[in-house]
Amino acid sequence: MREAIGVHVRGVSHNFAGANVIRHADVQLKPGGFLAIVGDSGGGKTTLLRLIGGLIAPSSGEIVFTAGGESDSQSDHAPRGQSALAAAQSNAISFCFQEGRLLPWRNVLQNVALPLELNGVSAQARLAAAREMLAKMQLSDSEHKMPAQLSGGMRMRVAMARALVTRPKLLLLDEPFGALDEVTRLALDEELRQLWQQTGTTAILVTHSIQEAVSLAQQVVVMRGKPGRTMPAIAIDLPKGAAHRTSMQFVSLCERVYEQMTQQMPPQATEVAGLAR
Amino acid sequence: MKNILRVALPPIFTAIALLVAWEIAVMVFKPAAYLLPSPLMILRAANVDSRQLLQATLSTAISAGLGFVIAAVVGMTCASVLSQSKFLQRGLYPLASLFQMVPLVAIAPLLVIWFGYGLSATVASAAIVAVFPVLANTLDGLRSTDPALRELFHIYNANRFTRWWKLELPSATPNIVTGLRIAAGLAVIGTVVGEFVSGYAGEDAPLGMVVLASMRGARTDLVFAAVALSAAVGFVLFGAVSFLGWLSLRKWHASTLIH
Repeated sequence: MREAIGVHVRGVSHNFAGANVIRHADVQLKPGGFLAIVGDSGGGKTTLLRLIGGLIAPSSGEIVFTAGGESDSQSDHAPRGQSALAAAQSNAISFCFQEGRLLPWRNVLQNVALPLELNGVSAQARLAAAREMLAKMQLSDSEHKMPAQLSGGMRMRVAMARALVTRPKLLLLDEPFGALDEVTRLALDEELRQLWQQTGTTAILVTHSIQEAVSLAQQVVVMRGKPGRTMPAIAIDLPKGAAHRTSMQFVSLCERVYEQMTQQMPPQATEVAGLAR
Repeated sequence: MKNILRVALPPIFTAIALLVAWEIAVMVFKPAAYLLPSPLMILRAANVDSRQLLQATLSTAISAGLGFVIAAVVGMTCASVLSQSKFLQRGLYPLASLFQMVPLVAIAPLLVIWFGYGLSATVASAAIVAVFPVLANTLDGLRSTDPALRELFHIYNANRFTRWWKLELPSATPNIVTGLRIAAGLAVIGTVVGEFVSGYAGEDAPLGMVVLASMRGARTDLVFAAVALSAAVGFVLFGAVSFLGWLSLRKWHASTLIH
């Protein structure tokens, strides 16, 4: 196992096409932690995830990766976006997208081996690693199937296997199960939780499901408004697992998240918005 | 097997019915043989001159085949180069489209001037008409690669060549196959046009020359035979390309399903 990395987002804003999409986002996550970002559509959740992954550069603020005291900063002063993207490109950060993004002309095994292949790993080594990952996820029987032959849930599991085959220090999940039916979704939530525990990676999950966020994460951050702002993180201190989704504690935490999503915005935030104009 | 029969039988039956109707019409109306020979008369004439016709078919097939291969290689290579540069695309693609508008028959004499009478001129003529559909379709396919997959390759730090070879080219395969299928038919047309202008008489005269010579000798039966054989060359080339396309796509692409 590679050492997991922590993430520190400090006052990050992002403008796109002249519009302010994210304003002063703050997120803090320790190495090996699991953070969920919830909020309604258009609230900047995905944008924040892409900022953390280095796919886009923040307009202001900084994103810092921490690993045992060291920190790797991506700020106004450093060349923007470079360090995070470099981390993603060296396979330290992995993405898992809602659409799965499998290559339709490659079978399951070849799809899972793709990140290693593009990173120059030898055929023998990358196929061995891909097979090992497939075995861990009980996907070995499907290794010769094409993506078109798989159900939506299976496709997402293959996409997860591909994201984890590089043994990432940070796993970024963008609505991975958003298009799946409820039963499949619950099963994959549980599988993701176990994989996170086994691999020890740091994970950030973007989701619109409060239940999913509360049942998987150690802390939940609500993003809301236009431009999107982060609310203070809610710590989730619950026994994990599908069986606990009906406990009183679980329900009351879900209610707290829901309240944060729906209560009046703090007036100070709108003042800042007014001043900025 | 059942599916193949369901697809293949209707056109075969229709063709047989048309040939029978033609034969009967000639029996009933008795037109002069140089105006309209019957299918059986064409068959008999072809049988008499079978050696020369086979030789001619081979000659035309070689020219169309070579022209097609050159068009495929040049078209795919040019499209791949153009797809990597907006600058080249803007500068060259409009010119390529314009070049496509020039009638082949009009430039065929030029080909004779440059390549002389014979095979090289007919191959050039075939390649020139067949190259554009390959170029246009391949470029279209390369450019319409899913942006989400492009981003994936960006995350994986793939260089330009890797992205082309492992992402853009496979995802463009359906378009490339379409372009090649069109090119297969056009290559035969290009060859016969080339043969009309630059063909050579004698033992190994190609089909285009057989058509011309038979026309001058009022041998309409042989004209028909040569026309049918050149169509057959096109059909075989088209069929071979379609089959190879099906082989490369059958595992993943929806177009290969027989409905």
